[in-house]
Amino acid sequence: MRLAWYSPLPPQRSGIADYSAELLPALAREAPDLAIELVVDDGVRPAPALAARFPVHGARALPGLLAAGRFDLVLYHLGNNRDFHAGIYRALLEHPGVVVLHEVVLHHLVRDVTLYAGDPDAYARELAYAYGRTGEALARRALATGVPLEPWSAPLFERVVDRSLGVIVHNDYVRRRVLASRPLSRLAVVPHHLDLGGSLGEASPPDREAARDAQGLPAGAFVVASFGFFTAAKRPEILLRAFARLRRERPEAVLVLAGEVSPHYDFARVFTPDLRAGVTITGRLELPDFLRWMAACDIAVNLRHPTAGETSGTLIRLLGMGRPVIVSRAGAFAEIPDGACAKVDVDDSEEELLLAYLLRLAADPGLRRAMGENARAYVAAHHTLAGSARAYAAFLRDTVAAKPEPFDARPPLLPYPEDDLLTDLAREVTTELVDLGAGEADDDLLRAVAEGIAGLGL
Amino acid sequence: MIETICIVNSQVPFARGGAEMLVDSLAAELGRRGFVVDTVALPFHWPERVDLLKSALAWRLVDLTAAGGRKIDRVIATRFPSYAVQHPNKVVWLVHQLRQVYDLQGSRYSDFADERPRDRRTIEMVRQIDRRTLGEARAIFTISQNVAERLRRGNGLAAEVLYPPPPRDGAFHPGAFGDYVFAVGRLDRLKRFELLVRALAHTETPVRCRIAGTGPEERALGDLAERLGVAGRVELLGWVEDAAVVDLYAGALAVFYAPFDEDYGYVTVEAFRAGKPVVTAADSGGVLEFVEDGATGFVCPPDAPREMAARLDLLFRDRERARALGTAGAARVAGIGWDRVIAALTG
Repeated sequence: MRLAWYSPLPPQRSGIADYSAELLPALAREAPDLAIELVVDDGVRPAPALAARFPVHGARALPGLLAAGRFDLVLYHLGNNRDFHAGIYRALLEHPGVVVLHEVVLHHLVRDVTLYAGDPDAYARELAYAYGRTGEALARRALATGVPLEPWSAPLFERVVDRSLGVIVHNDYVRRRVLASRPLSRLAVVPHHLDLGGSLGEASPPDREAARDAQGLPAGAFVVASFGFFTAAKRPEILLRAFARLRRERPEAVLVLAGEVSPHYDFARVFTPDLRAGVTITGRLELPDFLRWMAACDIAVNLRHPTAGETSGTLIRLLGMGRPVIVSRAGAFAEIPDGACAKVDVDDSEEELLLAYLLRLAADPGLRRAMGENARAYVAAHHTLAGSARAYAAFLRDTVAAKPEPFDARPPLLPYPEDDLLTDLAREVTTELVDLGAGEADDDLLRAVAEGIAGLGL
Repeated sequence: MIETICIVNSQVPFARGGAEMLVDSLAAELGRRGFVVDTVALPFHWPERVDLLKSALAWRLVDLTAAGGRKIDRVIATRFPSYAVQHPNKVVWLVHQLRQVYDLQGSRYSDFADERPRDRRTIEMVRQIDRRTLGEARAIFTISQNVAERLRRGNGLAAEVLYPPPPRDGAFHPGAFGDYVFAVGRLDRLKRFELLVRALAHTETPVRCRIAGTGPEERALGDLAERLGVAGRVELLGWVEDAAVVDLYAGALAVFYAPFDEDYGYVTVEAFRAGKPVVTAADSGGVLEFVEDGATGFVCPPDAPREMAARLDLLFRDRERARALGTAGAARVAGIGWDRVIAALTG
């Protein structure tokens, strides 16, 4: 099979670029029948290790190559960052292929390439396409008031799915979300792999003691750490408050926020002086430092709400390194088996539960070890690079064999006879009622409408 | 006790025609007689077949039993689908039904075709809506015998005829019998002004025509006159002020009015009020309730321009004959007035 692989790639700085770079050699190894060629945004020069191994084309050449029959299939990697995915998104709409939906909320990307590119009508059209008149009304209101839409309620993955020949997602949460809107999608779940083998050129993970020495941590410190790019969705407010209470009982505890705080997040409001004791914020880290902090910590906290359904590469890495991790019981995080991590509900008890876990784990090194081992075993079983590569290959082969066409799955899904105007009427009136906020429980309203139709003699 | 009346009308936004004038006049006449009256309109627009049903349902869901704490004693409905509204005292003064699924079906004025299942079903459903929602009215009146006859044929419902007086009734007056045939109305295909232009091509006398109004056929009419070599005798006046219309009636030799199966047609009554004979066609519907061939005007076959030309020549050569026909026409419509209409609708 001749496969075009359109993705950001190192040296582009993106998690998806790293993901692709790790997977490509494994795929070539596991599936020798795949002749893979790389497609990148024009002007991008992939890292020499990749460029030496795979033919590389600029995106501008893709239509010509497809027209010449060069590929059996194009695989597109979609995420939300317009710098890396705007071209991929446009190419997918033009030339359907298999899409890897790294997250289910593509609203930011779609908004960037429509509204923020100066075309508000296109933005409204996209919302209307995905969510009907409700979507268009939401868009118009957002445009008129300048109050942006909340992306999680309007994820805007629908057109992407409709224009694809198959969809790869990383977890069951995203699978269920896609199928809820597009029940007939061709879809495969391929868990986010973990590559501890060092295809990014990193050394094998340092051991705990060496890492702690390197980071200058006192010998007896109990280290709680959280990793990544900090936004409100990472819930630092909850973590900081729970940690401050932990520290009252365990003064040797320190909290490390390993990563950069989003400039769009009003962190100063959250990080009040009473919450600062024992807290270190590293700022942006290069990968070796990042990995050292992972190795050095006693407990990792990886909270997330709301979630775009993405599988966190950082989380998988922490689990794979055998760290005990506390996560939110939300989105894809909830799918990790209970024994392999601790889960905090996203409700009023969030801070209390987090504190209780921290206290319990701080007091019980045996439990921390056991959780870490479970986590390592889980990742080793479900998130291997070879496993990902084989799952990709199988789905891509199936896709080519099935010769699918893009499928516009907008409702109605059930065809009915063209002369059935009563169903037309019921459908249209129902749409209006739903747009007005009516639901199944609104008996009085539904009865009035039914009586109206009956009263017409229909 | 003063009765509160709501007139309901389905309206095509930005379009004002006979039905809108009728509703305005009715509201004014009711108000003049001491009724508390208001009009309620919903837009009527049906890009798809199903929109016809949605419009009917919209009316069905409108509650007009009371408004702002005031009980509404009576609803007067006018045309499809406004009469789908529910009211215990619903009176219908039917201007017209959805003609495309009745008398116009099968003609070039309707795109409903029996052989298309979706069209056939739409026709059935609209007729069913009419049967049900007109049938439940406390009384049904129509604006002409023609409309009443269609209702009888299409839905098996009987109705009494109440001819509406034209707007500006009282303004029309006789005048000199000039050298032109006057025609007025919206220039669309149903009004068939081209029959007049075609007839002019066959006249022997220098009779000419003056056509007041605008519409989609304006250009085609001008082109036709050019092609037939009668452009010098066809004057397209465009939009004309009401007062000028009265004068154009007054100075005319005769009035041409030959729409296809017109519901009623104010023009006939206006022409007779001005004492002018009316030249019409044998398939012009409501117009024929007043125009009797050789008595109040002339009725010609729609596809015989020579025959119509001969009638125009006759009137041009014999102004006294024109005067006599017009006078007889005036007598024919003398009984049309608001007192009778209001008494019936509020009785």
